[in-house]
Amino acid sequence: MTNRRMVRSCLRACCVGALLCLAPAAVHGQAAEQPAAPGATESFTTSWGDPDLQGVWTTDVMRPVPLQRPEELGERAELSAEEHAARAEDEARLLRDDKADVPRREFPDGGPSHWYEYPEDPSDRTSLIIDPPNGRLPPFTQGAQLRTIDPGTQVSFFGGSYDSSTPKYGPEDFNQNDRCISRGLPNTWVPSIYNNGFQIVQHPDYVVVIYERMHEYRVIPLDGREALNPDVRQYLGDSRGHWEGDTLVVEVTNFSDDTTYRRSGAARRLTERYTRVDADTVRVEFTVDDPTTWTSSWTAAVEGKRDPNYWQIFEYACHEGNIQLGFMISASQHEHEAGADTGR
Amino acid sequence: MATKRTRIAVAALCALALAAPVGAQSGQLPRAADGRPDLTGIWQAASAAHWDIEPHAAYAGRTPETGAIGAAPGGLGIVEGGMIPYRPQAVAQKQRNFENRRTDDPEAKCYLPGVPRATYMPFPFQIVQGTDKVFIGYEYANANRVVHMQEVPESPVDTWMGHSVGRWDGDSLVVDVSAFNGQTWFDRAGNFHSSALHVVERYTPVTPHHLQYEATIEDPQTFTRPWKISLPLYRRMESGMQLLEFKCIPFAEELLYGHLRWGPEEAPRR
Repeated sequence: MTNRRMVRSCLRACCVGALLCLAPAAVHGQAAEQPAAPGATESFTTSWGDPDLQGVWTTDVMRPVPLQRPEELGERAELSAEEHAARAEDEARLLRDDKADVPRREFPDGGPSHWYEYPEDPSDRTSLIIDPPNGRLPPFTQGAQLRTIDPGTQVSFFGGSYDSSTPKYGPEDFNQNDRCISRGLPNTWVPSIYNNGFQIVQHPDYVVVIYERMHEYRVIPLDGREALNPDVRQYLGDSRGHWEGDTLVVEVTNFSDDTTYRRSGAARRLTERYTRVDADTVRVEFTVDDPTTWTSSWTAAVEGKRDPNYWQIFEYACHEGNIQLGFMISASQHEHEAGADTGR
Repeated sequence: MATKRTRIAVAALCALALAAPVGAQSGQLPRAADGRPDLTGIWQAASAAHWDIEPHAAYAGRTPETGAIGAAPGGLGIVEGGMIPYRPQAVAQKQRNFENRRTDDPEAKCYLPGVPRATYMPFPFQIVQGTDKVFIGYEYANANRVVHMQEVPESPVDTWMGHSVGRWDGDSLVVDVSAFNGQTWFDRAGNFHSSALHVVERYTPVTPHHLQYEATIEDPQTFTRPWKISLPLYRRMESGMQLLEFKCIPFAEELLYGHLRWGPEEAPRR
C-alpha cells in the first residue's frame, strides 16, 4: 500500500469535485514514527486508564469486501484460501494497471486510476454485514419500498449522481457526495475507493472521531449527559458514548431526513462498538436500527488498520475544489434542452 | 486537632499563594494526567474581530434587504499597534476584497476558514487534548485540525487549515502553523495574506474559564514585518454545551451555483 500514496495525489485536492473529489492521501517515503504501543503487555490503555483507541486508521484492507455477501456463499463469513488469494491477485492486477495508467475497467469515468486504493493484504471477509448471519441487508419494510427519496439527500453512489436519464436543474438534484456535504452515517464507515482514513483522539471526557472524507468529525461525550433535544436533527446525528469493559459503545440518534442512507432517514438509530484488537487494529461494529425501513436491525463491522505511511489525516477540501458540480448542471441543460421545451 | 504538620502545610500553601499572585488562579486550572494544563473545552471569542480585525466603527452590511441585520458592529481591533502593516501593493488588494466581500469572502462560500480566522469566528470551537495530539474542531463548516505534539514530517501539500505542530512553553500551548494555500482571509473585511503565511499561536490559560489567544503573523510577500493579534477566548459555560453542525454548503449553493439554474420555474430549490 505504501507505493500507492504519492505526492502527486496531493494534486487531486485542487482540481476535483463531487464524485471525483479527493483530498491528498498520505505521502510515500515520509514514514513518521507512530507512537509506540502503550504498555509492553499489549493492554493499550491510556495514561488515565481507558482503553486506548487513538491513532490514524484506514479501512483500505476492507475495500474489496462488499457490504452484502453474495447469496451463493450462504452463511460462510470468510473466503477460502484460494478465494482470498484470487482477491489479492485482483487487487495486485488493479495496482499494476494503475501504475501502467490502464483505464479502470470497472469504472472508466471514475477519475485517474492512481486515485484508487488497492490493499496488498485485503481482508478475507465475505461481507461487511455480520448480522443477519447470511451477511445481507434485511428486506425493506413496505413503507420503505413506497417511500420517495429525494436524490439530494442521498449520501453516496446509490443515486442522485450525474446520469443522463433525469435533468439536473440545480445543485439540489445531486447527492451529498457530489456536493461535498456529508458522507453520512453509517455510510462513512463503509470503505470507499479512496480516502478511507479516520483518526481517534481521546480524553477522559471525550472521544473524537475524525474522518478524512469531507473532513467530518464527531466529538462524542462520555459524561452520561442527556440526549440532545429531539427537535435538533443533524446530518451525522448526535452521539453519546460510554465504556463497557474494553469496548466503547456509542449510541447515535437525532438523525435528519436531510441525509438518507438506503431509504433510511431520521428514524434510524446507530449503536457503534469500538474495540482495540491489537497494536495495528481497531474494530468498529455498527448496528443500524430503523424499524420503519428494515424488517430487522442489522450489523456490519470494519477493521481500521495502522499504515506507517498514513501518519495523519489529510485535508479533504472537497467543496472548495468542486468545479465539477457546476459543469454537471450545465451539461445537463445542454443535454436536455436540445429539442425539449423546458418552460424557460 | 491541627497537628504541627498540617499547620506547616497550610502555612506553606499560604506562602505559595502570596508568592505568586497568579498562582491562586492557575492553581485551579484543569490539568491533564501529565501535569500540563488541560485546554479541553468549548471556547469562543466575544468580539467584532470576525468583521474586521483592525479597529473600526460600525458600518452598513452588503445586503440592504436584511436591514440592520448584517451590519458590522464597531470593534476595538485585535491587531497589536492598531493596523496591519501591509505592503503598498497589498493595500489595493485589501480594498478590492472589501468591495467584493459579499461574493468573494471564503466564509460566504462556506470554504474552510484557515488559521487564525477560525478561532474568532462567531461560532464555538472545541479543544480535545489527547495523547500526543490536540484536536481542535470548529463548529463552522466542520473545519478541524489535529495539532501534532510530536515530531512529524513537513506537510507535503499546502492546505486551507495549515499544518499544525505544537509544544508546551510553560502553561502555554504554542502551535506552529504552516503550509497554507493563501486562499483564506483574516475576516469579513477582506484582510488577507498569501501562501507565504506562517502563524505561531499561543493558547495561554488565564483562569479556568478563559484563555488568552495570541498569534504572530508572518508573510513577507504581503506585510512589511511580522505582526501580532491578541484576544481572550471564553469557555462556553452552558450546562450540556456541545457543538452542533453548521454544514453550510447548502446555504452557499445559491451564491455559488444559482446562475447555472435552468429548467421549469418549479424546479427544486430545497
